[in-house]
Amino acid sequence: MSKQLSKKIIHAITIVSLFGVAISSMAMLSLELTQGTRSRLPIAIVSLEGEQALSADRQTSRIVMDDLNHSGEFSVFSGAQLPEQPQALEDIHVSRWHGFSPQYIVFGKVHPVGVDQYTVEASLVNLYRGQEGDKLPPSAVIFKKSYTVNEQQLRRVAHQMSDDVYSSLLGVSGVFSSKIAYILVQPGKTPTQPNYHLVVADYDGYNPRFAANSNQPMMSPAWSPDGHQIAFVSFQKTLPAIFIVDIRTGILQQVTALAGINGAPAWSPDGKNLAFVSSQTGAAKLYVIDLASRQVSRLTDGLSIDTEPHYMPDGRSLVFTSNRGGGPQIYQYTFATKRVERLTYVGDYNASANISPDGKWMTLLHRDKNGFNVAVQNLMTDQFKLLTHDNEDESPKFSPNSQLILYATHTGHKHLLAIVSVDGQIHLLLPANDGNIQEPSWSK
Amino acid sequence: MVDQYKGLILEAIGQHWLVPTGVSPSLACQLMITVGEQGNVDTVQLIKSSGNVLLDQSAIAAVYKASPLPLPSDKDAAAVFKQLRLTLKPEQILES
Repeated sequence: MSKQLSKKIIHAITIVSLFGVAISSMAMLSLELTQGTRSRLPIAIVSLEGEQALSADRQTSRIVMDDLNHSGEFSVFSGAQLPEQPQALEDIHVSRWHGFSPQYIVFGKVHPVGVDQYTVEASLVNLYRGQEGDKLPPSAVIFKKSYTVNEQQLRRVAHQMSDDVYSSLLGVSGVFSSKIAYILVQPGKTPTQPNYHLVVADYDGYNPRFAANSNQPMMSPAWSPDGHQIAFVSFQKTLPAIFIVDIRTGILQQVTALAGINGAPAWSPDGKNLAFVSSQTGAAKLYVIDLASRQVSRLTDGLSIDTEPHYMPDGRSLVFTSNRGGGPQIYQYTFATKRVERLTYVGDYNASANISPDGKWMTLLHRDKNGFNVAVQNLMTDQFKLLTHDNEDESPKFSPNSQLILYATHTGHKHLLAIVSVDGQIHLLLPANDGNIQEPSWSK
Repeated sequence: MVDQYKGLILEAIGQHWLVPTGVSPSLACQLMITVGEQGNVDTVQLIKSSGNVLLDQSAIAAVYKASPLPLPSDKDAAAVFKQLRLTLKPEQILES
């Protein structure tokens, strides 16, 4: 074929295809839709085949359902709310789902594979990814995963599945495998001498275990950024001092030995320094200790009480509570300039500030005529919003993904842990141990 | 007549459109839809992504959920709706 001819053919093809496009776009009707309904992600969770043989608190589908409900990002549908209960992709009849809300579905199976060994298999599927007849194409499967574990580990695997669903759909990590720490006060041999425990548990309160125990008060647990250590205040010695426990080894070390009261430890984001409070010169003031060299430097001075430091995620400044303006309010201390700036102006009592890991929000304890409640302040706009109305709340702490806030609350005479979402939409109480739960902290 | 059915089709799809929380109203995605003779949705193709996967997927799901789409009973009039180019913009979203 000559060059000339092939050029002509190409030319002709171009004209034909241009013509073709022109025809089809003329024939095609263009529509524009601007109206819909806002919704959390609608997802169906089907009971896993074979999980009925397990106790309720080890059933993957129940745990995943709870996790996704807790997250505030999903509308979960299950049981009779579903048109069918598929156990595999082939079981799904697409047309049956059209009148129903779910857009995604989780199903799978649990089967024993030996003595105390189970294989858990679960799939996340997009119900609207095209169809072949009344069936979904294989490309509708977003993931299919399986884990083999013993019975003790079934909750962990379910949380992992929840994290997989959360991150696959939302593109950010879930919190379902994270840990919390808190102080548990239980009755001791005599009513005047209770026992104190530093407890580490799953984020939902399950699997609690003791990381440190004492017959003297413990307070203010704070997770190290790597999640291996917890700093806390112990009254074991005559005056309160700061200790660090390694939760892998149980090894305990004392960090501060300044005169007076030492408390309120806060880790720097790189894990190298601890900010804390000491009253060695009289009023409570902020200090920082370099954990490697044990060198201590003082940050604030004056007659006011400065306490409850918490680092900003970039490590360049920290927020703290001070009564330097009269009542307690939140201030920000910047290391480079040593300058202090007031951050809160709503009401006459704001304390216990905690910054979200993404740096966008500050949660704090706000007191008004009703009592103590959890509030958030948007750090960009300074917009302030009350999230709880329990009137007896304390110690709000952000989740590692900045979506949820863990805090301590009271119902009747019981102290409990509760979670509220940063938009205030989700409220839940965590299962309670015997005894009083205080001062939670959420691992990174 | 065509305009009346355009409106009915948009209403049907809009009723099924569950817009994910936190999506910016300035985003838009575009779909190509082929419709069978009975109004059944045969294929939905994403021809322009909004850049937000969840918004794209919510749009595609809305179209499938609205199947069969309302079509004029007259065959020639219905043929106009054989292929649709649908732009979805979450500008007027009801808070559920």
